[in-house]
Amino acid sequence: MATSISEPAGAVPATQAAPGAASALTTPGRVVHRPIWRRPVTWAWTALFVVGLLLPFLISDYDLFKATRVLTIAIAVAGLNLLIGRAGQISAGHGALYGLGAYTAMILVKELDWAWPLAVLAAVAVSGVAGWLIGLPALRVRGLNLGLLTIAIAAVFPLLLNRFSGLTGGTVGLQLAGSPITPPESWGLTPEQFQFLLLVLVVTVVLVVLRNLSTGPLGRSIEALRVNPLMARSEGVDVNRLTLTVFGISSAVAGLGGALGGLVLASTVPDSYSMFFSLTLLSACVVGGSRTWAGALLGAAFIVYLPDLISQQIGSTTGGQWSQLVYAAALLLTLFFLPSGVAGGIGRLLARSTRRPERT
Amino acid sequence: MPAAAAPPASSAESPPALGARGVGLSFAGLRALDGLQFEVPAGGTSAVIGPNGAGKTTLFNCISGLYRHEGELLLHGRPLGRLRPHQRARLGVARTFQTPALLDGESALQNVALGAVAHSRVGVLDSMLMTPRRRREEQATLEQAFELLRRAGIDQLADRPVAGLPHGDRRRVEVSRALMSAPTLLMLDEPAAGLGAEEARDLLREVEEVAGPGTTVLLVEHDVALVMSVARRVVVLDSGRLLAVGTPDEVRADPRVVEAYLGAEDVDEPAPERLHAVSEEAS
Ligand SMILES: Nc1ncnc2c1ncn2[C@@H]1O[C@H](COP(=O)(O)OP(=O)(O)OP(=O)(O)O)[C@@H](O)[C@H]1O
Ligand SMILES: [Mg+2]
Repeated sequence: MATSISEPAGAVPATQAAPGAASALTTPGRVVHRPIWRRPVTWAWTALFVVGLLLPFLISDYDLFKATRVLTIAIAVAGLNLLIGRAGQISAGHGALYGLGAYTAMILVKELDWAWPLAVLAAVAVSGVAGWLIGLPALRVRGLNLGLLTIAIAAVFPLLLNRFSGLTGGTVGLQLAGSPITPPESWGLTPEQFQFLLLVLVVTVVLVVLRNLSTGPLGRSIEALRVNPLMARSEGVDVNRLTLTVFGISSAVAGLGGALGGLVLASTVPDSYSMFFSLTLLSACVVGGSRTWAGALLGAAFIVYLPDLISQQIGSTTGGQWSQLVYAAALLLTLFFLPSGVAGGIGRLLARSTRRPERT
Repeated sequence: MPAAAAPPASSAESPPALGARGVGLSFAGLRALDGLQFEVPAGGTSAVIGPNGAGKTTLFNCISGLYRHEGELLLHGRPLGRLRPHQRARLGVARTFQTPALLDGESALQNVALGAVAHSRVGVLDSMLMTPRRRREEQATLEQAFELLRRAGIDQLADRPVAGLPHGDRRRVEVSRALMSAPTLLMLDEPAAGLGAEEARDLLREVEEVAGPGTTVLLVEHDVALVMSVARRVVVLDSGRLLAVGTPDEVRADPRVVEAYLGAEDVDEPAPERLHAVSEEAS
């Protein structure tokens, strides 16, 4: 009789995939909390976390480097999930915010000799403020027009980088001799191992924070903002303020991914943050499943590993262009056949297969 | 509160729950509301009636703050001015929609809990960091939401997604959500549509009981017999204009109401237009 609030008969696979999704449920007469051992989703995430901690000691540094890139991008995609999947806004310009984070961190480390953790925090703040500003037009413009507007931002960003070449290094960008993110000598880790472990921790914190944001009173407000802004207003949601807050947080998160990505790579060039990168992030968000947090990881893995896969199949030089095509095709196919994304689809399958016996 | 804003009529008692002074609104040339002047006494249930397109929902939207309008609206004697919808909600204005507006992907319990956001003290940081304050408030909210569902007789649906619920249950979820914010003015836009006469009466009695004496219920309703039996004051609109306002007996006796709205029929008989909403919503 007592079914969980977070698993309504397959209607919202999204919430099921959230890390440790809402744990309250009702039994006849009252609201109770589900004990931790009865939350399969929490278990799955814990297992994944443990695998993440072990992985650096199982695979090569080269493979780790790739995997770290997946995680930095997953952070940005998770930010996009909050904005698109939860709040129902759209940003086709998150690549620019990722780039803004990367450039801010690189400039602070390279030119001002900041310690990398401080540079990362500053990059988060800068991207957050930029996102808040991008949110301003979103108060008036919605849907497709907002998409176009944010695409324009994505398109202008590399041009701005070239324009202010004194600060950004122009077309050649900024390079460091090596990544500043290195382990203390005594730890006995390679930089790649350390960076990956760091990213595992950061991704975990980001996903937990975003999950917290998208549940409870604020989560309901965000949901109402997406489903019916007029209803949200009359329920007491300050829709304008919430929209800006969500844009700010989503962008700050994208900037965090960018800052760590840039510093791990020890290099930023304008070409990395072209409009295509923004659209690639968008396709990662949709293909993975914009309403699931696991989707951020799947989507990021998809866009990082796909070009490699294609290059292996058809030779290296044209691989990049083919990937763009495949991203676009994957985006369309997902929209048609798996509207809740790959993670959402898997979540629904699992829910279907695990719930049957429980129901009796 | 400026002295000039105090309602002239009732000086001794508490100010009216709602006052309208010259409220008007045009949609691209269509005069949807025109110079509305009336008061709704504090406490109990009052009603707004009128034929389709009379401007009842538009009036609710003005009170919610969703539409800008001419003239002045007063909530318990306080001018609402340009206050935005969420600010009005925090002052105690709550409503339901003519077609229930719910979070379709969420459970009934979550939908009712949404009603608590108007008075939530949980900030963005509290939410992100899952502070004890947030945990405490959330637990209290869910328990209160569950209690409201129980009093509405649908607690067994608490965990069910509202998307699949029958119309009457969706309606109850929405009304419970509105009650969740402990409103001082509760506007119900055709809450009885799609319900049987018996069910409708029960719903209204329940709402009054749960809301308590501090809440004024303002009802839009097509079933005139129902309105006449529950309302303290009836506001009659026709094509955006105030046709009559008064007690059910006064309104019933008003020749303009009888002529323009109720027609030649006895008001206790259901007129075809009153059935409109019922047939439209029936599933
Ligand atoms: N957003 C809008 N834009 C233009 N016209 C509108 C809008 N909302 C309402 N109207 C018009 O204003 C008039 C009043 O509409 P309203 O919805 O308030 O009527 P109502 O009394 O609630 O009717 P019903 O009983 O059918 O719900 C109608 O003629 C309607 O077509
Ligand atoms: Mg109406």
